[in-house]
Amino acid sequence: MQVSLLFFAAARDATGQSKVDLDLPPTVANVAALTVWLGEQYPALVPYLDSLRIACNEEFVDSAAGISAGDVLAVIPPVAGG
Amino acid sequence: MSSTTITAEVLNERLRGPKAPLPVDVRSAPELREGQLRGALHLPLHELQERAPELLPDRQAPIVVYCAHGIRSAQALQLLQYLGYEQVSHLEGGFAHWQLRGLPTEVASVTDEANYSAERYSRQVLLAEIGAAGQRRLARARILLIGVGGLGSPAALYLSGAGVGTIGLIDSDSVDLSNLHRQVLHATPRIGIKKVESAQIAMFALNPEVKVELFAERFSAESAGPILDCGWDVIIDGADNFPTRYTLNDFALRRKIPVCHGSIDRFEGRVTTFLGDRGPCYRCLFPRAPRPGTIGSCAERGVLGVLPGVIGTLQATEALKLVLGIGQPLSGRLLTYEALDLRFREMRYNADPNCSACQTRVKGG
Repeated sequence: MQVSLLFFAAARDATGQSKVDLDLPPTVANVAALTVWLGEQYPALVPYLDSLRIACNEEFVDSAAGISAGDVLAVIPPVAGG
Repeated sequence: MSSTTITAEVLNERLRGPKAPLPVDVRSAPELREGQLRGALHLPLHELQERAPELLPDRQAPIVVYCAHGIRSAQALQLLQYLGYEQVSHLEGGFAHWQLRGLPTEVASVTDEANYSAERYSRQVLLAEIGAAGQRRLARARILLIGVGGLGSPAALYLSGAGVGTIGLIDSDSVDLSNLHRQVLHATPRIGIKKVESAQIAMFALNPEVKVELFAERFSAESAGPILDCGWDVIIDGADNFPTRYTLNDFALRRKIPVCHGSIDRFEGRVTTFLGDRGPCYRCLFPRAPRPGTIGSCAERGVLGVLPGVIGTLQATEALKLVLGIGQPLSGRLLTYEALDLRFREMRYNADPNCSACQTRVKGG
Protein backbone atom coordinates (compact mmCIF):
# COMPACT_ATOMS: atom_id res chain seq x y z
CA MET A 1 0.00 0.00 0.00
CA GLN A 2 1.62 3.20 -1.22
CA VAL A 3 1.72 6.02 1.37
CA SER A 4 3.84 9.08 2.23
CA LEU A 5 5.40 9.53 5.65
CA LEU A 6 6.36 12.96 7.04
CA PHE A 7 8.73 13.09 9.99
CA PHE A 8 8.76 15.99 12.43
CA ALA A 9 11.23 17.15 15.11
CA ALA A 10 12.94 14.22 16.86
CA ALA A 11 11.36 11.79 14.37
CA ARG A 12 13.04 13.68 11.54
CA ASP A 13 16.39 13.32 13.31
CA ALA A 14 15.80 9.66 14.20
CA THR A 15 14.98 8.69 10.61
CA GLY A 16 17.34 11.13 8.92
CA GLN A 17 14.62 12.37 6.55
CA SER A 18 11.63 14.70 6.51
CA LYS A 19 9.57 12.78 3.92
CA VAL A 20 9.55 9.33 2.36
CA ASP A 21 7.17 7.63 -0.09
CA LEU A 22 6.98 3.89 0.49
CA ASP A 23 4.98 0.71 0.15
CA LEU A 24 3.53 -0.39 3.51
CA PRO A 25 3.03 -4.14 4.02
CA PRO A 26 -0.66 -5.14 3.92
CA THR A 27 -0.58 -6.06 7.64
CA VAL A 28 -0.05 -2.38 8.53
CA ALA A 29 -3.67 -1.40 8.13
CA ASN A 30 -4.18 0.97 11.06
CA VAL A 31 -2.30 3.54 13.13
CA ALA A 32 -1.50 1.13 15.99
CA ALA A 33 0.14 -1.27 13.52
CA LEU A 34 1.95 1.62 11.83
CA THR A 35 3.45 2.69 15.16
CA VAL A 36 4.81 -0.83 15.78
CA TRP A 37 6.11 -1.04 12.20
CA LEU A 38 7.87 2.34 12.54
CA GLY A 39 9.75 1.05 15.60
CA GLU A 40 10.92 -1.99 13.61
CA GLN A 41 11.98 0.03 10.58
CA TYR A 42 13.60 2.86 12.55
CA PRO A 43 14.93 1.62 15.91
CA ALA A 44 16.00 5.20 16.77
CA LEU A 45 12.28 6.09 16.89
CA VAL A 46 11.51 3.62 19.69
CA PRO A 47 12.00 6.10 22.60
CA TYR A 48 9.37 8.40 21.04
CA LEU A 49 6.73 5.84 20.14
CA ASP A 50 4.64 6.11 23.31
CA SER A 51 4.30 9.91 23.13
CA LEU A 52 4.18 10.72 19.40
CA ARG A 53 0.97 11.31 17.47
CA ILE A 54 0.05 10.45 13.89
CA ALA A 55 -1.83 12.83 11.64
CA CYS A 56 -3.44 11.33 8.53
CA ASN A 57 -4.04 13.77 5.67
CA GLU A 58 -3.59 16.74 8.03
CA GLU A 59 -5.88 15.48 10.76
CA PHE A 60 -4.73 13.89 14.03
CA VAL A 61 -6.06 10.35 14.34
CA ASP A 62 -6.18 7.79 17.15
CA SER A 63 -4.57 4.36 17.16
CA ALA A 64 -7.64 2.56 15.77
CA ALA A 65 -7.84 4.73 12.64
CA GLY A 66 -7.41 2.85 9.38
CA ILE A 67 -4.81 3.58 6.70
CA SER A 68 -5.60 3.71 2.99
CA ALA A 69 -3.45 3.87 -0.12
CA GLY A 70 -2.39 7.42 -0.92
CA ASP A 71 -2.56 8.65 2.69
CA VAL A 72 -0.05 11.23 3.89
CA LEU A 73 0.91 10.19 7.42
CA ALA A 74 2.71 12.71 9.63
CA VAL A 75 4.76 11.38 12.55
CA ILE A 76 4.71 14.08 15.24
CA PRO A 77 6.51 13.78 18.57
CA PRO A 78 5.74 16.48 21.15
CA VAL A 79 8.37 19.21 21.62
CA ALA A 80 8.68 21.45 24.67
CA GLY A 81 11.40 23.99 23.85
CA GLY A 82 10.66 27.64 24.45
CA MET B 1 32.58 58.68 44.65
CA SER B 2 29.76 58.09 47.12
CA SER B 3 27.06 55.50 46.54
CA THR B 4 24.93 56.21 43.50
CA THR B 5 21.73 54.91 45.12
CA ILE B 6 19.81 57.07 47.56
CA THR B 7 16.85 56.13 49.73
CA ALA B 8 13.69 58.21 49.88
CA GLU B 9 14.37 59.27 53.49
CA VAL B 10 17.94 60.40 52.79
CA LEU B 11 16.89 62.24 49.65
CA ASN B 12 14.13 64.02 51.55
CA GLU B 13 16.72 65.30 54.06
CA ARG B 14 19.14 66.34 51.34
CA LEU B 15 16.45 68.22 49.43
CA ARG B 16 15.97 70.45 52.51
CA GLY B 17 19.67 71.08 53.07
CA PRO B 18 22.38 73.07 51.29
CA LYS B 19 23.59 71.85 47.89
CA ALA B 20 20.31 70.07 47.36
CA PRO B 21 20.32 67.89 44.23
CA LEU B 22 17.93 68.62 41.38
CA PRO B 23 15.32 65.84 41.08
CA VAL B 24 14.98 64.68 37.47
CA ASP B 25 11.86 62.65 36.73
CA VAL B 26 12.54 60.20 33.88
CA ARG B 27 9.04 58.73 33.73
CA SER B 28 6.84 59.19 30.69
CA ALA B 29 4.22 61.94 30.64
CA PRO B 30 1.18 59.77 31.46
CA GLU B 31 2.84 58.50 34.62
CA LEU B 32 2.94 61.99 36.09
CA ARG B 33 -0.75 61.85 36.88
CA GLU B 34 0.17 60.65 40.39
CA GLY B 35 2.28 63.74 40.92
CA GLN B 36 6.02 64.28 41.12
CA LEU B 37 8.74 65.33 43.56
CA ARG B 38 8.68 69.03 44.37
CA GLY B 39 10.62 71.10 41.90
CA ALA B 40 11.39 68.10 39.72
CA LEU B 41 12.48 68.51 36.13
CA HIS B 42 10.53 66.18 33.84
CA LEU B 43 12.85 64.59 31.29
CA PRO B 44 11.60 61.18 30.06
CA LEU B 45 14.25 58.49 29.69
CA HIS B 46 13.87 58.25 25.93
CA GLU B 47 14.60 61.99 25.58
CA LEU B 48 17.41 62.07 28.12
CA GLN B 49 20.38 61.68 25.81
CA GLU B 50 19.14 64.29 23.37
CA ARG B 51 17.89 66.94 25.79
CA ALA B 52 20.18 66.64 28.83
CA PRO B 53 22.89 68.99 27.50
CA GLU B 54 20.27 71.72 26.97
CA LEU B 55 18.24 71.24 30.17
CA LEU B 56 21.10 70.24 32.50
CA PRO B 57 23.99 72.41 31.35
CA ASP B 58 26.06 72.11 34.58
CA ARG B 59 27.70 68.68 34.69
CA GLN B 60 29.14 69.30 38.15
CA ALA B 61 25.75 70.05 39.76
CA PRO B 62 24.21 67.28 41.90
CA ILE B 63 21.32 65.46 40.23
CA VAL B 64 19.03 62.73 41.49
CA VAL B 65 17.11 60.79 38.87
CA TYR B 66 13.96 58.83 39.67
CA CYS B 67 11.27 56.82 37.90
CA ALA B 68 8.36 54.70 39.08
CA HIS B 69 10.26 51.83 40.73
CA GLY B 70 13.98 52.51 40.31
CA ILE B 71 14.63 50.46 37.19
CA ARG B 72 14.62 53.09 34.46
CA SER B 73 16.40 55.53 36.78
CA ALA B 74 19.29 53.05 37.01
CA GLN B 75 19.55 53.25 33.22
CA ALA B 76 19.28 57.04 33.35
CA LEU B 77 22.06 57.13 35.92
CA GLN B 78 24.39 55.14 33.67
CA LEU B 79 23.52 57.31 30.71
CA LEU B 80 24.16 60.58 32.57
CA GLN B 81 27.47 59.28 33.91
CA TYR B 82 28.40 58.33 30.37
CA LEU B 83 27.49 61.86 29.25
CA GLY B 84 29.93 63.26 31.83
CA TYR B 85 27.66 64.21 34.73
CA GLU B 86 29.73 63.87 37.88
CA GLN B 87 27.28 63.88 40.78
CA VAL B 88 24.35 61.68 39.80
CA SER B 89 22.43 59.37 42.08
CA HIS B 90 19.12 57.58 41.64
CA LEU B 91 16.20 57.09 44.00
CA GLU B 92 15.86 53.55 45.33
CA GLY B 93 12.36 52.16 44.79
CA GLY B 94 11.44 55.24 42.75
CA PHE B 95 8.34 57.38 43.15
CA ALA B 96 6.49 54.35 44.57
CA HIS B 97 8.77 54.27 47.65
CA TRP B 98 8.59 58.03 47.97
CA GLN B 99 4.78 57.95 48.01
CA LEU B 100 4.61 54.97 50.37
CA ARG B 101 6.58 56.97 52.92
CA GLY B 102 4.18 59.90 52.60
CA LEU B 103 6.93 62.29 51.48
CA PRO B 104 5.95 65.59 49.84
CA THR B 105 4.87 65.65 46.20
CA GLU B 106 3.35 68.22 43.90
CA VAL B 107 0.93 68.10 41.02
CA ALA B 108 2.78 67.82 37.75
CA SER B 109 1.99 70.36 35.07
CA VAL B 110 2.56 68.25 31.96
CA THR B 111 -0.07 65.61 31.35
CA ASP B 112 -1.23 65.63 27.80
CA GLU B 113 -2.08 62.02 28.36
CA ALA B 114 -4.88 61.59 25.83
CA ASN B 115 -2.88 62.99 22.91
CA TYR B 116 0.21 61.03 23.93
CA SER B 117 -1.58 57.68 23.87
CA ALA B 118 -3.61 58.51 20.78
CA GLU B 119 -0.44 59.16 18.80
CA ARG B 120 1.27 56.00 20.07
CA TYR B 121 -1.54 53.67 19.00
CA SER B 122 -2.77 55.69 16.01
CA ARG B 123 -1.70 53.16 13.36
CA GLN B 124 -3.57 50.26 14.89
CA VAL B 125 -6.59 52.31 15.98
CA LEU B 126 -6.93 53.08 12.26
CA LEU B 127 -7.84 49.42 11.73
CA ALA B 128 -11.62 49.20 11.74
CA GLU B 129 -11.39 45.81 13.49
CA ILE B 130 -9.65 47.51 16.45
CA GLY B 131 -10.57 51.19 16.59
CA ALA B 132 -10.75 53.21 19.80
CA ALA B 133 -12.97 50.62 21.49
CA GLY B 134 -10.49 47.84 20.74
CA GLN B 135 -7.64 49.95 22.06
CA ARG B 136 -9.55 50.43 25.32
CA ARG B 137 -10.04 46.65 25.52
CA LEU B 138 -6.30 46.17 25.11
CA ALA B 139 -5.62 48.76 27.82
CA ARG B 140 -7.86 46.86 30.24
CA ALA B 141 -6.44 43.44 29.29
CA ARG B 142 -4.19 41.28 31.46
CA ILE B 143 -1.93 38.80 29.63
CA LEU B 144 0.40 36.40 31.42
CA LEU B 145 3.64 35.08 29.88
CA ILE B 146 4.92 31.74 31.11
CA GLY B 147 8.63 32.05 30.42
CA VAL B 148 10.52 35.11 29.24
CA GLY B 149 12.95 33.26 27.00
CA GLY B 150 12.90 32.67 23.25
CA LEU B 151 9.12 32.65 22.80
CA GLY B 152 8.42 35.22 25.52
CA SER B 153 10.87 37.73 24.02
CA PRO B 154 8.92 38.78 20.92
CA ALA B 155 5.60 38.26 22.69
CA ALA B 156 6.53 40.62 25.54
CA LEU B 157 7.70 43.32 23.13
CA TYR B 158 4.77 43.20 20.74
CA LEU B 159 2.18 43.03 23.52
CA SER B 160 3.86 46.04 25.17
CA GLY B 161 3.92 47.91 21.91
CA ALA B 162 0.25 47.14 21.30
CA GLY B 163 -0.72 48.75 24.60
CA VAL B 164 -1.84 45.70 26.57
CA GLY B 165 -2.61 47.21 29.97
CA THR B 166 -0.97 44.64 32.23
CA ILE B 167 1.55 41.98 31.28
CA GLY B 168 2.59 39.35 33.82
CA LEU B 169 5.98 37.66 33.51
CA ILE B 170 6.93 34.36 35.13
CA ASP B 171 10.53 33.13 34.96
CA SER B 172 12.94 32.06 37.66
CA ASP B 173 16.06 32.21 35.46
CA SER B 174 18.68 34.90 35.05
CA VAL B 175 19.98 36.19 31.72
CA ASP B 176 22.82 34.03 30.39
CA LEU B 177 25.19 34.76 27.51
CA SER B 178 23.99 31.61 25.71
CA ASN B 179 20.40 32.95 25.71
CA LEU B 180 21.06 36.08 23.70
CA HIS B 181 21.14 34.67 20.16
CA ARG B 182 17.40 34.07 20.45
CA GLN B 183 16.14 35.85 23.58
CA VAL B 184 16.38 39.31 22.07
CA LEU B 185 14.32 40.96 24.79
CA HIS B 186 17.41 40.78 26.99
CA ALA B 187 20.75 42.45 26.43
CA THR B 188 24.45 41.84 26.97
CA PRO B 189 24.79 44.41 29.80
CA ARG B 190 22.00 42.62 31.68
CA ILE B 191 23.66 39.18 31.84
CA GLY B 192 23.25 37.82 35.37
CA ILE B 193 20.12 39.75 36.36
CA LYS B 194 16.69 38.10 36.62
CA LYS B 195 15.02 37.65 33.25
CA VAL B 196 11.77 39.18 34.47
CA GLU B 197 13.63 42.35 35.52
CA SER B 198 15.60 42.49 32.29
CA ALA B 199 12.34 42.05 30.37
CA GLN B 200 10.70 44.87 32.29
CA ILE B 201 13.51 47.27 31.33
CA ALA B 202 13.07 46.48 27.62
CA MET B 203 9.27 46.66 27.81
CA PHE B 204 9.30 50.04 29.60
CA ALA B 205 11.79 51.38 27.09
CA LEU B 206 9.37 50.48 24.30
CA ASN B 207 6.21 51.54 26.11
CA PRO B 208 6.28 53.11 29.58
CA GLU B 209 2.47 52.97 29.73
CA VAL B 210 2.38 49.20 30.17
CA LYS B 211 2.07 47.78 33.69
CA VAL B 212 4.32 44.78 34.30
CA GLU B 213 3.81 42.26 37.10
CA LEU B 214 6.84 40.13 37.91
CA PHE B 215 6.93 36.57 39.24
CA ALA B 216 10.60 35.59 39.55
CA GLU B 217 9.71 32.02 40.42
CA ARG B 218 9.22 28.63 38.82
CA PHE B 219 5.74 27.85 37.55
CA SER B 220 4.79 24.65 39.38
CA ALA B 221 1.77 22.90 40.85
CA GLU B 222 2.47 24.85 44.07
CA SER B 223 2.80 28.32 42.54
CA ALA B 224 0.28 27.89 39.68
CA GLY B 225 -2.93 28.47 41.66
CA PRO B 226 -2.08 31.79 43.31
CA ILE B 227 -0.51 33.17 40.10
CA LEU B 228 -3.37 32.12 37.80
CA ASP B 229 -5.95 33.53 40.22
CA CYS B 230 -4.73 37.08 39.45
CA GLY B 231 -7.43 37.60 36.81
CA TRP B 232 -5.63 36.90 33.52
CA ASP B 233 -7.52 37.15 30.23
CA VAL B 234 -5.03 35.12 28.16
CA ILE B 235 -1.87 33.13 28.89
CA ILE B 236 1.07 32.73 26.50
CA ASP B 237 2.86 29.42 27.02
CA GLY B 238 6.54 29.89 26.31
CA ALA B 239 7.74 27.29 28.80
CA ASP B 240 10.78 25.14 28.08
CA ASN B 241 9.72 21.78 29.55
CA PHE B 242 6.87 19.28 29.51
CA PRO B 243 5.89 19.28 33.23
CA THR B 244 5.28 23.05 33.15
CA ARG B 245 3.17 22.75 30.00
CA TYR B 246 0.94 20.01 31.43
CA THR B 247 0.61 21.82 34.78
CA LEU B 248 -0.36 25.03 32.99
CA ASN B 249 -2.92 23.20 30.87
CA ASP B 250 -4.65 21.68 33.89
CA PHE B 251 -4.69 24.84 36.03
CA ALA B 252 -5.73 27.15 33.16
CA LEU B 253 -8.57 24.78 32.14
CA ARG B 254 -10.04 24.86 35.64
CA ARG B 255 -10.15 28.65 35.40
CA LYS B 256 -11.21 28.64 31.72
CA ILE B 257 -8.31 30.88 30.74
CA PRO B 258 -7.25 30.55 27.08
CA VAL B 259 -3.65 29.49 26.43
CA CYS B 260 -1.71 30.41 23.29
CA HIS B 261 0.75 27.56 22.95
CA GLY B 262 4.11 27.71 21.20
CA SER B 263 6.97 25.24 21.21
CA ILE B 264 10.26 25.00 19.34
CA ASP B 265 12.86 22.38 18.50
CA ARG B 266 16.00 22.97 16.38
CA PHE B 267 14.54 24.33 13.09
CA GLU B 268 10.88 23.61 13.79
CA GLY B 269 8.11 25.35 15.69
CA ARG B 270 4.47 24.84 16.53
CA VAL B 271 1.58 27.09 17.51
CA THR B 272 -1.96 26.35 18.63
CA THR B 273 -4.59 27.87 20.89
CA PHE B 274 -6.52 26.20 23.70
CA LEU B 275 -9.63 28.25 24.36
CA GLY B 276 -10.17 27.18 27.95
CA ASP B 277 -13.95 27.09 28.01
CA ARG B 278 -14.38 24.92 24.88
CA GLY B 279 -12.45 22.96 22.28
CA PRO B 280 -9.52 20.59 22.73
CA CYS B 281 -6.70 21.08 25.24
CA TYR B 282 -2.99 20.25 25.35
CA ARG B 283 -3.69 16.75 26.71
CA CYS B 284 -6.07 16.07 23.79
CA LEU B 285 -3.19 16.90 21.43
CA PHE B 286 -0.45 15.03 23.32
CA PRO B 287 -2.05 12.80 25.98
CA ARG B 288 1.24 11.26 27.09
CA ALA B 289 4.35 13.24 27.97
CA PRO B 290 7.53 11.65 26.70
CA ARG B 291 9.54 9.79 29.29
CA PRO B 292 12.03 12.15 30.96
CA GLY B 293 15.24 12.35 29.00
CA THR B 294 13.86 11.16 25.65
CA ILE B 295 13.20 14.60 24.14
CA GLY B 296 15.83 17.20 24.89
CA SER B 297 15.64 20.96 25.46
CA CYS B 298 17.07 23.81 23.39
CA ALA B 299 20.21 23.51 25.54
CA GLU B 300 20.59 19.87 24.54
CA ARG B 301 19.30 19.86 20.95
CA GLY B 302 20.12 23.40 19.82
CA VAL B 303 17.80 25.94 18.22
CA LEU B 304 17.99 28.44 15.37
CA GLY B 305 17.93 31.87 17.03
CA VAL B 306 15.27 33.44 14.82
CA LEU B 307 12.89 30.45 15.15
CA PRO B 308 11.27 31.51 18.46
CA GLY B 309 10.94 34.99 16.95
CA VAL B 310 8.55 33.57 14.36
CA ILE B 311 6.64 31.36 16.80
CA GLY B 312 6.43 33.82 19.72
CA THR B 313 5.17 36.51 17.36
CA LEU B 314 2.38 34.20 16.18
CA GLN B 315 1.45 33.48 19.80
CA ALA B 316 1.25 37.22 20.53
CA THR B 317 -0.96 37.66 17.46
CA GLU B 318 -3.31 34.96 18.75
CA ALA B 319 -3.43 36.56 22.20
CA LEU B 320 -4.29 39.99 20.78
CA LYS B 321 -7.06 38.46 18.62
CA LEU B 322 -8.56 36.77 21.68
CA VAL B 323 -8.53 39.99 23.72
CA LEU B 324 -10.03 41.96 20.85
CA GLY B 325 -12.52 39.23 19.93
CA ILE B 326 -11.58 39.38 16.24
CA GLY B 327 -10.72 36.76 13.61
CA GLN B 328 -10.59 33.00 13.96
CA PRO B 329 -8.56 31.58 16.83
CA LEU B 330 -6.15 28.71 16.12
CA SER B 331 -8.25 26.31 18.19
CA GLY B 332 -8.26 22.64 17.14
CA ARG B 333 -5.54 23.40 14.62
CA LEU B 334 -1.82 22.80 15.08
CA LEU B 335 0.27 25.09 12.91
CA THR B 336 3.74 23.72 12.23
CA TYR B 337 6.62 25.72 10.82
CA GLU B 338 9.64 24.00 9.27
CA ALA B 339 12.31 26.64 8.78
CA LEU B 340 14.65 24.48 6.68
CA ASP B 341 11.97 23.88 4.05
CA LEU B 342 10.17 27.16 4.82
CA ARG B 343 6.88 25.36 5.04
CA PHE B 344 3.83 26.02 7.20
CA ARG B 345 1.34 23.19 7.65
CA GLU B 346 -1.90 23.07 9.56
CA MET B 347 -3.24 19.87 11.11
CA ARG B 348 -6.65 19.58 12.71
CA TYR B 349 -7.27 17.85 16.02
CA ASN B 350 -10.37 17.24 18.08
CA ALA B 351 -11.19 17.14 21.77
CA ASP B 352 -10.50 13.66 23.12
CA PRO B 353 -13.72 12.31 24.69
CA ASN B 354 -11.55 10.45 27.21
CA CYS B 355 -9.28 13.39 28.01
CA SER B 356 -8.36 13.38 31.70
CA ALA B 357 -8.17 17.18 31.79
CA CYS B 358 -10.78 18.96 29.66
CA GLN B 359 -13.58 16.40 29.74
CA THR B 360 -14.04 17.02 33.45
CA ARG B 361 -14.43 20.78 33.13
CA VAL B 362 -17.80 22.17 34.06
CA LYS B 363 -19.90 22.57 30.93
CA GLY B 364 -21.44 25.90 30.07
CA GLY B 365 -20.72 28.92 32.25
